Amino acid sequence: MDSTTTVVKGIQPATVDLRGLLKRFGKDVVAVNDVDLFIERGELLTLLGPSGCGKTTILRLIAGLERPTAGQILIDDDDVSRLPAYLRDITMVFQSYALFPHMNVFENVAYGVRVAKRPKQEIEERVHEALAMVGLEDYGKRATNALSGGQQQRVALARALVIRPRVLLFDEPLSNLDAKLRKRVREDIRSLQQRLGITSVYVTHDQEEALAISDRVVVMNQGIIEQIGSPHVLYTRPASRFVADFIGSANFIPGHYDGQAIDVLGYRRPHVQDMASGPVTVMVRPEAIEFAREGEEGVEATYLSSAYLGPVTEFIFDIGGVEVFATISGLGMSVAERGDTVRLRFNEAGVSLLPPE
Amino acid sequence: MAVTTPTTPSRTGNGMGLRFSGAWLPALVAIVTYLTLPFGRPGRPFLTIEPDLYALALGAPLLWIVLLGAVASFVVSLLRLNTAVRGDVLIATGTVGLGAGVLWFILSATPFGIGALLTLAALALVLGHALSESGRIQGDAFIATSILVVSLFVILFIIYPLFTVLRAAVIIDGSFDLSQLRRTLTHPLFFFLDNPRSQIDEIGLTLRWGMVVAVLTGAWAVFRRRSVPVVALRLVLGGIAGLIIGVLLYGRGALPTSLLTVAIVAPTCTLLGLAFALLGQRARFKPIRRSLDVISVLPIITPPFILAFAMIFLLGRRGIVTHGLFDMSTNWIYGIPGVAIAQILAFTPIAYLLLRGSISSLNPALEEAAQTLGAGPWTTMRTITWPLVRPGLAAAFLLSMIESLADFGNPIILGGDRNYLATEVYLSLTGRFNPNEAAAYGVVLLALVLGAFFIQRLWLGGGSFVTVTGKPSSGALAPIPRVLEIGLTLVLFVWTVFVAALYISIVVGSFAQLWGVNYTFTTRHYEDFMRAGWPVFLYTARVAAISAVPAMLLGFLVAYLVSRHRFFGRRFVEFGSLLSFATPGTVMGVAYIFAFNTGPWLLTASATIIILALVFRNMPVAIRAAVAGLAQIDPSLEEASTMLRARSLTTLRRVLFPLLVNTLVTGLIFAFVSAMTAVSQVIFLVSPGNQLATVLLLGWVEQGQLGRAAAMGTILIVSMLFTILVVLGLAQRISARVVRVEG
Amino acid sequence: MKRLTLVLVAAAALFLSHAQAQRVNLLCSPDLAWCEALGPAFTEATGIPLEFIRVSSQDALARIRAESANPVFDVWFGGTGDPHLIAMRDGVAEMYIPSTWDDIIPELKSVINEEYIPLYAGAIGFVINEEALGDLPLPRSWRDLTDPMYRGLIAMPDPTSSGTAYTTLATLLQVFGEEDGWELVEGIHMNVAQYTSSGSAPGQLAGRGEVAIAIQFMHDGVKFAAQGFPLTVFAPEEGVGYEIGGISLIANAPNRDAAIAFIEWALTPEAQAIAGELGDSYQIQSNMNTVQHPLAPNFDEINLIEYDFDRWGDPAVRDQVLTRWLNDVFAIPR
Repeated sequence: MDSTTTVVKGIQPATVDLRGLLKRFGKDVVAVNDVDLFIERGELLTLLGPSGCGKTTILRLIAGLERPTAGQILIDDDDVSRLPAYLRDITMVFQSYALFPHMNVFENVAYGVRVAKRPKQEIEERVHEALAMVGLEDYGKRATNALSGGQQQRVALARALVIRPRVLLFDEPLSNLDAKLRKRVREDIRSLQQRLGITSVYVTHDQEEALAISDRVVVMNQGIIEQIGSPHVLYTRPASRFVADFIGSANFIPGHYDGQAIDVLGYRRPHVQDMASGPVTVMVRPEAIEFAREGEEGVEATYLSSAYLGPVTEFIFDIGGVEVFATISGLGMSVAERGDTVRLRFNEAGVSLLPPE
Repeated sequence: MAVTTPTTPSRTGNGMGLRFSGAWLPALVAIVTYLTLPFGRPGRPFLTIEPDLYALALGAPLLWIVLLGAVASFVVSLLRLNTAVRGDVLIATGTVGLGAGVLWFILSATPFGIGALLTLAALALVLGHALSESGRIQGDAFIATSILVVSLFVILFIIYPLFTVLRAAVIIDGSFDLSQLRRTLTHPLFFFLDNPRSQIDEIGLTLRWGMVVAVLTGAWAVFRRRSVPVVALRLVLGGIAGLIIGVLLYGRGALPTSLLTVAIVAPTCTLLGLAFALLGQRARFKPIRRSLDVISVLPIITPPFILAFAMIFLLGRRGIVTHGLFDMSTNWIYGIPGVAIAQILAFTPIAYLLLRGSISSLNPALEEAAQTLGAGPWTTMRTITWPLVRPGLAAAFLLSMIESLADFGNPIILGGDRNYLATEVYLSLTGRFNPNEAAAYGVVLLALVLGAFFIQRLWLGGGSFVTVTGKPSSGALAPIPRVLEIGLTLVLFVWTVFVAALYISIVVGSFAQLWGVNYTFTTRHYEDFMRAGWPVFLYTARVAAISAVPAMLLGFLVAYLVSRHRFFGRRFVEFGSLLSFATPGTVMGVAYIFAFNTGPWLLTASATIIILALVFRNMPVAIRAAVAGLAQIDPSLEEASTMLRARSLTTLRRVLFPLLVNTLVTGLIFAFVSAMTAVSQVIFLVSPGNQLATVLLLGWVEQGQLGRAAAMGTILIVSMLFTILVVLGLAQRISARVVRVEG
Repeated sequence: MKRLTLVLVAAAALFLSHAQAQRVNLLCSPDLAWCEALGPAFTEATGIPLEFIRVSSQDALARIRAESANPVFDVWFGGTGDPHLIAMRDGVAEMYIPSTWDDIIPELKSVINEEYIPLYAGAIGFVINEEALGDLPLPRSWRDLTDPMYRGLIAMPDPTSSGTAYTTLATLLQVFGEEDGWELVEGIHMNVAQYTSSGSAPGQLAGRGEVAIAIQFMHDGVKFAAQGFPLTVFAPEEGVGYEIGGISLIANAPNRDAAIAFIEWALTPEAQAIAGELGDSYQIQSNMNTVQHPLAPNFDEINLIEYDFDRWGDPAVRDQVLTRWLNDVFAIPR
């Protein structure tokens, strides 16, 4: 996967527009609650959230594997809400790979073109092209269960690409792989997606994966969208406590904002954010907490405990009755005793404001 | 012709959707068959071209609407509309056409002709395409049509016939009349307790039973120091239980006889089944498992009454054992004892099969975990093993109960002076020619069976019957205690010897000059069989084979729809297949006679009705097999296929069928074999030229042509055994090849 | 899906194209061997194929009635006369005068008022396995059968399904009168081990020793004895009733021409001789030119009663008798 500019002929990426999408299972369970979402042509958008938040349901709604209770799904300008899955020019890569166990690699990849009744020669060309894209040219004759997990997932990817879908859906494609492999395959997926410019929707519950791979991330909770944004925005300006907590870890300390600065227990720190003046919740990332040097402004904190982890040390402090976690690099003050008072300062990059509790 | 509606955005050049509706082809077929084939038929023959019975010649306004619906569907399906909108329009045109056709048949009561069959089927296909394309049913045209057709089948071939039974029980000569039901239910043939001619006082004895049991349960409650209301409740419940026992023991008539037999047979079968299952799963001595596998197959390959009739020769008044060995002359096997023994022999293997599943799915780790938490063996048994085995036991009990209530062959041969509900259905229709009485008995039988079913489901809570599957867990199971194993092995040994003796006596009887009198060797009975039975045997095999394919396909389809799709009416389809499974064969047979003897569905005296009866009788077996098979397959394989733009029919053919070859072939074989050995559901349906082997066999037994019957029984059993062994062996080899491709 | 549509159409067309040609659908009530011998002989004589189902005469009547809207059968062959009579009076069978009408024994025609075509005659009797009887004395009369010492030793057909048994009931009621007759029926019932649905089956049971005494037509007993069962056949001394078996054309028969051809053929001496030669059936055949089989019971030696076919064949009387038997006799536990 080294060529950088090949565009597979025939792939015409589309936009996806979800309007007021609602999905109810049974009478009471609302899996997707009135979701509006526009997915740009050629972007990789990730749906991120804990299990049961409705992200997979959205994916299946786009795929046509489920029917919306209300709302519309538009692909380019076509309303496909009621169109059967096999007419939608969309395809999906599954968590379990879903490779057909009774077919070898070639047959698996050929399945989509074979079903479309293409001539034999075209089938072979397209299968080889797709296998080459995922770096498995010589694996056609192999049985699928003789492949490693990563290879299986790449076969699944080739099988999806061979039918030249206009939108590609990924349903937690990496969750069955071990951590190391996961990193590699996700880079492969990302570079292939960028090379093909194919509109992709990616579902995961792994925030690191989401941040690493996406153009934009949609954080979902209980069937609604909490926040949409680039990985950077989500991390630095989370829109809600849920988002802040779900992406990375965060401390929430009550404070006050006056338009130029925040005030936490008398510690005044310049900060500008689009936020009304008054009481606020200050979100501070653990890695943004440092010991205040002599003479620097800082907030009074009580040392509770620490754990030495090598590159960093994890501290727990008490700031005005709130337990605060901090990861501080260097030796820090390993000599402190429980109950010692210290002064802490917050780094600008890891501070953001949320409405008060 | 681009139509833009305000609600749906106009399509771009490479817009998705279909240019034409797939409904154009079935709509065209509907038009062609409407015009070229007769809509009705004069009598039974299907392919009589009667010019008067063409739809156009009949000239009924409703029939014009059928044509209108078909033509409109054809035109609309070719319009360049938004797929969903066009689908909605097609739903309207298809429904109008189909509805008008059905209505005409109901109103005119004309037997349907081939043209009507094809036209209406094609219109159903139109509707299927329309429902799918409009998005009203999630899935493609195949799924939509399948849902439609399966629901129609359930209505037509399960619900409607049973409805006619209910109707016949309460509607007499066209008006609502409970007198027949009352007459039947108060008739001594049904139930009576007080018998002035007997030496004993039945009512007094029954009351005494009630009192004794009430006092015993009350005393037990007092002993356990229960509160006063609880003691009172126990007293009342005990009294009721005692009265029931008394009624069963002293009452006469079909109801107490059937119920007493059930009360003996169901617990015995369940216990023996449990014993064999324990033995099979946890015995140290391996050949026991092999012999249990053989035993479990026997009742499937043996027509239900064959063992009963072999029993006469072993245990009858002149039986080899009773008279020959012990020099007794009693009629004891005629009546409840004989019927009960025959039923236990026939139904224990069924209980065993069910329990084998739940015993093998017991995870030994659970028992070990309980023991490491300090539970003794009995506590473990009570708190872990019992709750886990309970559903299996309940299912086995229920199934033995249903089989016992529905059993027709054994009571008719061994009933003696006792009469049974299932045989009364038969005798009241064929002997006394009282269809209303037959229906009344049918209603009672149906109520008992369904009542048992729903009590079981209440007790076990939820869990649809098609989803009861157990996946055997891996890991070695703890062997049972040695004493228990020896004891159970002994039971199995006695059982095996007895069953073997019965089967041998059939073979011996088939070669004996005059069974019971003259045991000189002869092949005369086989010559008789070849002359009088062989053509019927071949015909039966043909009918069974024809019925097995749709039974298996339909069963697979229902299993697939129910376990893989959510749709309106899914519960209904499940309920329908449950009903066809639970309904006693004689009741279903009567129902088919009532439903298909006149009007549009004139089907009696044809091979078709026999095949239909067998298809819907054996479908539930195929459903169970297919559900179990589907449970082993990850649904995302099918979704992956859908996502690769395969329609569901392609998915079924290319993905599911290859993976389920083994299950499907097994289902096919069992559908074939049980069609070959079925009696009760087809005994009313045979007609000249459509005679069936088992019905003929029962007739021979009844007329005392025992040598010949034994010859046919032998050939039937041997050929069915051969079928199961050879064909299943082949299927396993095929699936082994699929696995080899995998690995 | 498209292919599936076409396959379905083709399959349906194939499946339903089972056109039916002319053949005789026979409802056959006598002994199975006789029924089985008829088809080949008839087809050889006329070229018309024949399919039959063996059904006891009561059940046969039930079936014909049930199917009267759309008859399946063409001819009803054999079985006791009363159900034939009822079928005629009900209009579910139609009277057809065969060309051999004048050759049929006149007495047979006259006692049934020429209401249906007589096929054969046979008398009720006892069929006894003396071995199974053991030390018990041979029953000589109907009354002997009520003796409790024969408890569990008697088999007879079920009157609700077998014409043989109804003839027996009617005989007892005619010989002993209503009141005594019913008492006798009840007494016999207390000794009956088994009611069979087929009229000839009791003799089998007796032959194998399952019971000692069978009440049935004597010609069936003769048949079993000829097959090798240790049986004695005789008529009880108070007198016995008899049957005049019939052959009837079903009303609206689907293959009427073939049906008539069969009836014509069945009444010829050649066809009637088949009964004894191939069919294990030793009734007196109705055509006076038929050579009666040597084993056929000789009516001149039997104390035959004046069987009132008109009265006992009347459907109302019949229903009354059967209902009474069912309610007041059969229901008594033994």
